[in-house]
Amino acid sequence: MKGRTIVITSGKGGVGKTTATANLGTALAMRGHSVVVIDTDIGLRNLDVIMGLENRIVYDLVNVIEGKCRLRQAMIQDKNRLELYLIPAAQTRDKDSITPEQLKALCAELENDFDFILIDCPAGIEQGFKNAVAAAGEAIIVTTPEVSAIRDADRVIGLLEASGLHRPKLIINRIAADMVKRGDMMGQEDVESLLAVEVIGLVPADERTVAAANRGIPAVHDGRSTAGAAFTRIAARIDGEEVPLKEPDARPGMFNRLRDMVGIKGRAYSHA
Amino acid sequence: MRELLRWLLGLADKGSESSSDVARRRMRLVLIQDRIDLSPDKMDQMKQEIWEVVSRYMVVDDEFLEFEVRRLDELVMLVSHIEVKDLNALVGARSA
Repeated sequence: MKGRTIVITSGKGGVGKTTATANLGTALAMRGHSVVVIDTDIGLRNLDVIMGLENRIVYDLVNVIEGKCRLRQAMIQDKNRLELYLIPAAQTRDKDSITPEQLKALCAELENDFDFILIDCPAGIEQGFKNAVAAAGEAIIVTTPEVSAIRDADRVIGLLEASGLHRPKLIINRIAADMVKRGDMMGQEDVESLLAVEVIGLVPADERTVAAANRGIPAVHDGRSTAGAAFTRIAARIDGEEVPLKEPDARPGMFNRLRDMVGIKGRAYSHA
Repeated sequence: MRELLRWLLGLADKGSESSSDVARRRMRLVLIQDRIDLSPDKMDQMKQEIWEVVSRYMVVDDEFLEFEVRRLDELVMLVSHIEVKDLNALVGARSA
């Protein structure tokens, strides 16, 4: 077996890399694949809490690389017993604890036994980014339709090209369709034409992802989550299935419009 | 209430540019500038090569060569100032 190693990156922090990694990993496993997700944000680990596995951590990525434990000992299986495993980041070390070569060797070893290895890349373009990128054969960029996220995504695309990772795919996260509609948020075409990379997914802003993170159950398990449904479609596309891109719908219904006008709070457009 | 006001105001000035239009316009320029991304070494090399080309055709000062990337409204421009020296030699060349 020769698996695919994909880095999920963004440049800017807080745009949803970790959420995307957890959801795509879960969705690919639900499609019947064997998947390993690796948190490479050493010192600031989070993928474990998003996946609800924080209580099961014994060994971490740095332990494996330093030979303190066997690879399998650091792999935590998903709660639903899917063929999905997490290798958590070390929390008390820093990004210089591992080298690009070490992570590359680790992923090469995993590729022999698993279909997909997803690397959750830390924010920024320093050592942690370099480690994550060196190990990957493909890249997915996560951005939100905001100027700061898009600018950083553009920088990252340039850096990926420079390190030989061509044709990265783009996920546009947290699209608020009603804002796009009234001209207060850039839409798919805008972002796509600015960054000039292929869009692999459009994820609506969905407050259910906050609840999903609270519970430690990725949104792809939640049948009512529109973001979860979007990630499920992205996973299908990664898997080679031809699924049309679905533009998020503007919130319909009189109630929501009334609520908007009156200004009742209750929508969360920004969350990590 | 604020939303209602904004909505009514939105109806009133439909002709004006939306914030997403502004964002797109700003991003296009910012990204071009970011992408140019010339290292000081490359910049010096380009400067030198441009000087060599120009000096094949006229006498120019090798010290006075300014170079900058500048933004003007919708355009991103590479602007250089090259001082032409020895006007006599230039005039002489033309009359010869």
